[in-house]
Amino acid sequence: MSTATLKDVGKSHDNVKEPLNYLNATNTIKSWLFTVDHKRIAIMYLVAVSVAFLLGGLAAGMIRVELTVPKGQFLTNDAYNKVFTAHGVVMIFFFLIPAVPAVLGNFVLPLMLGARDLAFPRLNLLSFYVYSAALVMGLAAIIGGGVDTGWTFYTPYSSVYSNSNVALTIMAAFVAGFSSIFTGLNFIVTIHKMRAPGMTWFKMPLFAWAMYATSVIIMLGTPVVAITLALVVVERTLGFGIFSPEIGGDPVLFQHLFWFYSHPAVYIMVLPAMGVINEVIAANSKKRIFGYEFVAFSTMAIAVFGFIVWGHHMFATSQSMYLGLVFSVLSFLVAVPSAVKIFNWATTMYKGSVELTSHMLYAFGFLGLFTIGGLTGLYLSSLATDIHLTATYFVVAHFHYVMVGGTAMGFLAGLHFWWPKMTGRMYSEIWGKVSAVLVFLGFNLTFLPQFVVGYLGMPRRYHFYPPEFQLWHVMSTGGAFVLGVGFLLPAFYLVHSLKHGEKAGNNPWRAVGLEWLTMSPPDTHNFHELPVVTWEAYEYFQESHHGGDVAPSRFPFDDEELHLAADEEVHV
Amino acid sequence: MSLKSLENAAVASSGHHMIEQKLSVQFEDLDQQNESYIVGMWSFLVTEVMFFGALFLAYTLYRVMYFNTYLEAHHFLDVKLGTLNTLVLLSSSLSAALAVFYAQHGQRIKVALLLAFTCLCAFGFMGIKYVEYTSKINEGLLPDQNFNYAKALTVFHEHHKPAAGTEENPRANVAWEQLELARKANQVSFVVPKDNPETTFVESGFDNRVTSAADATARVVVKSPARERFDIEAGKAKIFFSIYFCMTGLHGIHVIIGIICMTTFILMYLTKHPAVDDYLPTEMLGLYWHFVDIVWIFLFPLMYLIS
Repeated sequence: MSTATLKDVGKSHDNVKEPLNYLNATNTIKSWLFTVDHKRIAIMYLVAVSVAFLLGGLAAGMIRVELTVPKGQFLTNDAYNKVFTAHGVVMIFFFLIPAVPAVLGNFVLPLMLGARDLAFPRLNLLSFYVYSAALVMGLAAIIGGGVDTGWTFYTPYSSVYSNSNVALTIMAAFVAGFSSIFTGLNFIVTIHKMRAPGMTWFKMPLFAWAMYATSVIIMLGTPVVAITLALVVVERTLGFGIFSPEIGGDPVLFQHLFWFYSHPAVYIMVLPAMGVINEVIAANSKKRIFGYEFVAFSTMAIAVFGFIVWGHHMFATSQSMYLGLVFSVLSFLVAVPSAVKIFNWATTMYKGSVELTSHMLYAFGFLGLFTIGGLTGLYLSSLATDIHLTATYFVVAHFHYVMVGGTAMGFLAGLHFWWPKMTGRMYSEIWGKVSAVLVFLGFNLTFLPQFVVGYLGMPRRYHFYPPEFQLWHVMSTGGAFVLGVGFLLPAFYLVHSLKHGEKAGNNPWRAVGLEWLTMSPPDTHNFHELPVVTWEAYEYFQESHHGGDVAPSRFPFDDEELHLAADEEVHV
Repeated sequence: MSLKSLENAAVASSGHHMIEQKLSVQFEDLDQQNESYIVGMWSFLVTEVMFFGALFLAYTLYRVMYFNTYLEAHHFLDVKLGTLNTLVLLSSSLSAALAVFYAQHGQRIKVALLLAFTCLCAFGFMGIKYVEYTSKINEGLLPDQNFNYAKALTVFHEHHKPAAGTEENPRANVAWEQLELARKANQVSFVVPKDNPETTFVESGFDNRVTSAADATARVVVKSPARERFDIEAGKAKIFFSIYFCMTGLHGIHVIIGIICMTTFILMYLTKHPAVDDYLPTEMLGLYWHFVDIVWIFLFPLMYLIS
């Protein structure tokens, strides 16, 4: 956007040449590395997060191959510990936490709110580089020796006894925390202060509500875990005594502080995905989200409840029975707002004109898998059953249903939903559906057996297991490969679409939302003219008896329609 | 309308402001920009509160668990220096507040001077902290591998003989009592000349740090019950000093960040940098500095004034 003015861009729709947008405005490497455009930063995040996902996935593949035989295949015990730790650390800190907010949130949040950018664009870029530095540190620690503590870094093993690269890995997680704090701060300010004229809180898309709730959790939770991890490093490297039971320290204090963040972190991961699901379901059912206010408040309720349930990770520690009782009851309460969401989505689809696009298939996957993940969570928040199930594969299956079935599915749904907006190209719908189905089937084949084997008593993080569990593990490994193929497919057809995809109009899904008002890919400053919002979020309405529900004409398919609509409005 | 002209229009329309302020592209008008900065700063401070919050929680937990240890160990902290530091920080807070006031009135020289005074106070604070830290380290109270509570206690009681007729609080002597008993059981012996306590320490049967496996079998130290109990007490004291150093250390890092920021601001004021044409950045610096101050206001009584 150095020379051309916006006026030229506005006119260029009738030229043959592609109009200037954020992708082709400048194309030097420097213009990407030093960009403060939220859309370009989102794309850079997408690349980085995908690398992390691939590496974490490779570690997962190694674990699964290793577990096909009761005595292990090719890893030593020590190497096995390091591989599952690498899988956990990379996936949690470098994929699940940043995936939806930093990629999709970064890209669409300002568009949805009708803003030109986030409130602090340079902070946004800093957040990306801090994330990248953390990723490099984490990978350096993992490749240069590895860590064997598990991603939870429980003391005193992590602070005193482990001989692996604990300090560097913890510092990586610490630095990554700052990256999410920066993003969260940016989102909070943007949502508070950058909404387009007329866009009140209750006219915001629910994705923005989800981003707000997530940011609040990030701002309140992340510093706590950051300082806790820093204490572990201090204890480990300087020999201070804080959590070490040898000198009277309380290792359970570490667990309290760790889970004070890391339980809400589950909602940092899943709330943004739920936000995506709102958008996808509304656009594919062509209906207003049923009970919009309830869904918005349930988002905030999850954020609040999320902070008072951490103790359910410690039912099997020295935590008092009465405290456990309270945490158990509170944990059950979180199920209520989650269920509100699921029921409202189901009701939104009821009598809507549901289109089975690939992103909708991912959203269906989310609904099914997240529901299973959430309901099995209730087994774990009951004191008695949890004593039996603690640290078994049941827990592993439960949180994978929430994390992969929830967050990863939501991320893919959102990526497919907004891909035409991000790149201006349509991807292969058929391959998209194939991928969605493969992920769903592969996922269930991988993790349903783990519920069974966990219930039968197989502890998590064990390298060897009794031969009678082998059948379940082989099923799980088979499923993991189907899942892996399902996850790899998008990398191919999405990249392929960049060059060969059909041009997407402004609004290929005929959806409602400010992001569909601007061109695809959007201009560097998002909007030619900043919109003034006079309508509700998800303003779909019924078109006669047979045509199903549609978006109003103010969200036209392409620029042609945009001008027709503008003329129409003038005449009216 | 092009963005450039939008920006110009916004600058023109803000003519009633005393000084022209630059509007970033993503904002509609200066009010929105300023409000965004303020919301951002307060959100950041909330994060900072949570940062220290975890440490305060650890402090509280161990204070409840080991109150007597806290009571005894806190005597090693110098209340006089702590009070002096509190006064230094409080006066720096006043000058920071005045700097914001003059920034609002556009008096850049006064702002620079007041910030310089604030900065000076911050340096003074760090200087006093340095004196405190060095004396702790010399006393053997840095809670690393060389933490030596027996030595510290012995030196302390050599220099602080209770005045005749005064009763010492027995709860504040848990470790000292065990150390005395251990000494009677010939587990520890010290020679502490008044002039130079550093050089002539003799410890017997006290150093049980194991350096090798062979070493471990060669030196099996049979501890007397008193010695065992003293070790437990010393461990608790190590926790107190770990928390002391972590909390004051994190606070000190914040003071240093404050010094860096203030120096930058002074330079910007002196060079009439456009970033400080408006008072808002200075106000946010002031908010940060008050936060650093408030943390110390909590730390001082919690660490130095336990009773």
